[in-house]
Amino acid sequence: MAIRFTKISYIYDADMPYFHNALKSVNLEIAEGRITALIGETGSGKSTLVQHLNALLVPHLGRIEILDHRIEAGKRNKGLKQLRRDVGLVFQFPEYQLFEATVLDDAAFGPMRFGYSKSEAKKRAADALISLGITKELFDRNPMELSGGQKRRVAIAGILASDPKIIVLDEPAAGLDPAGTKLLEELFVSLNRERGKTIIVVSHDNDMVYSCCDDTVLMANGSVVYHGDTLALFNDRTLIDENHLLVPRLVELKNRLQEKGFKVPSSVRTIDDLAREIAMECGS
Amino acid sequence: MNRIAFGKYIPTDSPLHRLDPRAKLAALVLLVVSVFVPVSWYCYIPLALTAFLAVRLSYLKLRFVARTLRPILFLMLFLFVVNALTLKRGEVIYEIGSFQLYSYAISFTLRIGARLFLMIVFTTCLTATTKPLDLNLAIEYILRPLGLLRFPVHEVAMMISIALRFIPTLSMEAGRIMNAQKSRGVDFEDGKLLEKASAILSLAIPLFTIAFERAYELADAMEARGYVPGERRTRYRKLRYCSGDLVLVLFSLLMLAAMILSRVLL
Ligand SMILES: Nc1ncnc2c1ncn2[C@@H]1O[C@H](COP(=O)(O)OP(=O)(O)OP(=O)(O)O)[C@@H](O)[C@H]1O
Ligand SMILES: [Mg+2]
Repeated sequence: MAIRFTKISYIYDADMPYFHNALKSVNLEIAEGRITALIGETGSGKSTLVQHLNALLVPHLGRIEILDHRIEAGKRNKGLKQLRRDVGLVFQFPEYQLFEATVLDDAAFGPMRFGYSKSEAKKRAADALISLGITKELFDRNPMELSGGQKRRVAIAGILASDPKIIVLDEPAAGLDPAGTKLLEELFVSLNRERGKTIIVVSHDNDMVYSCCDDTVLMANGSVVYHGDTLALFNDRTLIDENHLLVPRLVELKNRLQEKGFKVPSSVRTIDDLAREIAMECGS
Repeated sequence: MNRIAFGKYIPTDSPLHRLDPRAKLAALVLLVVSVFVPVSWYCYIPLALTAFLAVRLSYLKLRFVARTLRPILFLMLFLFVVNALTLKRGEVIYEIGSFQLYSYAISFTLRIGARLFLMIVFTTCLTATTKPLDLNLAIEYILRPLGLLRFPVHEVAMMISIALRFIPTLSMEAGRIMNAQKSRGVDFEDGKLLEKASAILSLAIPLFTIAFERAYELADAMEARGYVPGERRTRYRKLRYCSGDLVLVLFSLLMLAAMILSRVLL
């Protein structure tokens, strides 16, 4: 088990009259080596949950185990730097964290803080930048001169460069163009499939969730209401209705095809797979 | 960042929330002056009771008030050390070697502490129960006579209100940036001097960038809505006094009068 939450509660502004109970006794186990989507309405507590994975927020009640780190309510927890190195967290709008004078220096900032030598950090930073489509010509530019989408990629590269075991992305695609979104998707799928990283991605894009996330955690109002197979969730009419989920376009299409008499296996994830299935049906 | 309690508005519906900001501001000024008038100890009793009443009437939790007061404890400790070394009046209370601690050093420190304490409690009761914008209206109202001297009252008030408006926004942004940098291995609490410097830079640079971005956006938005500096403006919301305001101001005036009298007579 990569991550285990045991009865986690978190309250914002606990000593104010307008306190807000953002997590309510959450139990959650996330397996190693999987891509897990975290979905739910705005304000359901996704970002709050995610910040616990880096001990940026410490729960008021409960216990969290992440790899071999433990975070407990009401204790002064140690070894946070090691934890933050093992769990890379990409924030919502990460471009605001850029501050170094050049793109390369900024991407190398994290690895250097985590103890890599300067040359090693730069090498890792360069690899991460290139994997995100930032070419060498941009390495010496000031990050402030880049476009919004480019800044986002530099910021994400800065996290990947530290080579964390678990990568958590909080709405990484918000505000990116379709090409950028696609690139990001392919990137985290390849990080998972080729390098065995555990990926957790917060998203409002159910099409993306359906096509590339193994598991889905659905949150509502500070609680986890579903955790399990992504395909099972989105192919279950009652679950979808109960939780007012937006049906992925592919599922919509599949349902319509089924109404017309096509047999489509529910394991189909992408439009290409669907096309292949249809071709096979027609061929036979 | 969320720990900063001083000056924070607490949205509840207490009796003090419902009063007019001008009356509250006037009462604050009167009460703060009263705090600095008295000489004898028992004058602080009615002031302390007033402070207690103000806290109750603004529905503030005592824990919240205590948090705003924590900084003055350090200040008092520092003051006490300085006083103990320099003030040599009254009786000797304690002696080690050639060092003597005089009673006046203690009573003087306590007096300053009490004054600061009361002042902060009164101010907190004002800022916690008055929206920054209302407070700003009150300031503008009180400064209005200066307009006759060509002092740009309205522009200054606007500047204050914009600054106040952006404190929570920027402090939230600062919190977010700090979290993002912590995730990248920055240690804001401890660490070597050089690391500390880079930690501060990693917060300050993005924060400045955001502040400038916000400022440009706001300027555009204001212009787009037809804001012209110096033009006469009307108000959507008018301030209105009620009987409670009168009671508050009269009470504060009486308090000040009583304190002045006690000083003259005693
Ligand atoms: N710093 C804060 N202070 C007070 N309340 C907060 C704070 N941050 C979040 N909240 C509240 O906690 C709840 C959960 O917020 P959170 O940011 O975790 O939601 P989210 O699921 O990430 O939403 P979104 O999809 O919009 O990002 C919200 O109701 C929000 O108002
Ligand atoms: Mg969020």
